[in-house]
Amino acid sequence: MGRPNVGKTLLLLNFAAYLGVSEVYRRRDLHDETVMSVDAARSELVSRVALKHLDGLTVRVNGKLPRGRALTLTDGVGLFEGVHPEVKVRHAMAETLERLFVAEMIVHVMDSRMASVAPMDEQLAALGGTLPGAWLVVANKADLASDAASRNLRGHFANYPVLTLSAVTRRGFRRLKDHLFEHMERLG
Amino acid sequence: MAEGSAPVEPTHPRTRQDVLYWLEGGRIGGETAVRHLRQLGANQAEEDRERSAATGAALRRDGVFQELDALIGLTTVKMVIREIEALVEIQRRRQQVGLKVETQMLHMVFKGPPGTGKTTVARLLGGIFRSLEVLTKGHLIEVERADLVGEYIGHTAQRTRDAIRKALGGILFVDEAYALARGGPKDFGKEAIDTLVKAMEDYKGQFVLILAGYPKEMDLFVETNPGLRSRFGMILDFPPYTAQELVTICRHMLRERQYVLAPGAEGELEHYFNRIADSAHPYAGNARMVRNLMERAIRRQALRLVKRRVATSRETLMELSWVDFDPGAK
Ligand SMILES: Nc1nc2c(ncn2[C@@H]2O[C@H](COP(=O)(O)OP(=O)(O)OP(=O)(O)O)[C@@H](O)[C@H]2O)c(=O)[nH]1
Ligand SMILES: [Mg+2]
Repeated sequence: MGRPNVGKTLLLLNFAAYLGVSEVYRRRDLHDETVMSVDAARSELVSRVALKHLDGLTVRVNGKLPRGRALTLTDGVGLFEGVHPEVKVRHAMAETLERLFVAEMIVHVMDSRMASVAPMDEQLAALGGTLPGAWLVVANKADLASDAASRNLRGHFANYPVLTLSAVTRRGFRRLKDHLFEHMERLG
Repeated sequence: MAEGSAPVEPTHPRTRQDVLYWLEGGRIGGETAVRHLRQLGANQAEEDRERSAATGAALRRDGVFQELDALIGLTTVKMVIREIEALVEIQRRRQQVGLKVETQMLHMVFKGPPGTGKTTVARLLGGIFRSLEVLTKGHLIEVERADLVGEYIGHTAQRTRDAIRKALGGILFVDEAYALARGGPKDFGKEAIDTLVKAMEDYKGQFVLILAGYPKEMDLFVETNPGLRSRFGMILDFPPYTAQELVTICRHMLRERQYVLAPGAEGELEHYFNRIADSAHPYAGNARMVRNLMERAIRRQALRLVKRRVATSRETLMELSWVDFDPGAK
């Protein structure tokens, strides 16, 4: 979950692959859910241009999980600031926000390179404290950012765990997995 | 719409649903939506206290208008009601400075098939008229032919007058009103119509009459009863809901009950609503059908989950899949 183009989809897909998952479910438009390979999803759905897709992407992880639990990872649509002109987008945004109240853990993805924290991220982080699920901040695209940038983010969001990682180089995936699994252990 | 009545950004959501609805409707931006969601969470307890302590027409009016805005679709209906509100207010201001005021004809005809929100809107209108001090109580008395028409001469007039008396200070809502003209000129239904017309004169300004029913039947009904035609200033259309509106209605109903649609289920539902619209199904565009579908889905999800041996997560407990709905299945 996070603002457009911060790398949510790539993170979801590469992390799924890291967990040994090869298939994802894609809700292409309103009418069908199809199964596709992680590779196909990556080439179709990760884009340099913000918001190429509004598709819901869901990854289901089974096996080798703490306490024999199942894990479902869901991609959110990019959360735009201001009023987006397209109703479809606004609808998808409302759906994504609605999911925040249901999820057991929310991964708030940001681009480590941003010069200052965007209003949307401020508001999201503030919302985090009022939700039932756990909140985790991910400072993505660390491969492109300076260490100082991620230190700043860590300082800014001091109330939450902040993981610095890169969806491209997969640096930090280990810590993400540990964090996730520890949380699942705690949930029991 | 008149200048100056452009929609302003709404500011005080009561529920999460209000916020998401405003976001979808393009009335607030993304970060504002998130801010409202946070404030709702943080201030819930405080707001609850304030709300129950606060009184006064302004707050009450805010409340009814928010409820009206929260209804899906019905764009024209909402607009007309805003116009009425403005008109009432302006008439009051004119009166204050000694200008001529029109006596308002607030009696209305609601045209639309069942399940399109006619009764809901009528009930909200009661609240709105009360907050505008057009009606003293704003309650709704709902009747149909069987409640008004009696068995012998004079009986009908008496029963109709009883209904009107009960509705004084509020709204008398006659559902399937065209049925009053069903039996032709010798039918007692005619007596009910005459009594209603007379009461509109005798109790001017003391109640609002709303006649509701299927569009074609209502057109014919009003046309063939000249006494009615001249007294109904407003005729509001309640079109059947589109498939997309029905899906939205469903999502909102579910949201209130803390359920969500599973990925994929929403598309199937829309597909299904479109299918029945194409086949001119009697329930096409009917919101009541949505409620039934949803309630059945909730029961079927329960059955599906109770059979499972594994632990059920919060998310699983909230999620309705298409298998829970599938109206084709037994
Ligand atoms: N260098 C680098 N690029 C990244 C990283 N993560 C994502 N990207 C790139 O950022 C762009 C956007 O990635 P997406 O995964 O599509 O971003 P998103 O957040 O899903 O975007 P929307 O769905 O449009 O909101 C793509 O060009 C990715 O290749 C990262 O860690 N490092
Ligand atoms: Mg994406």
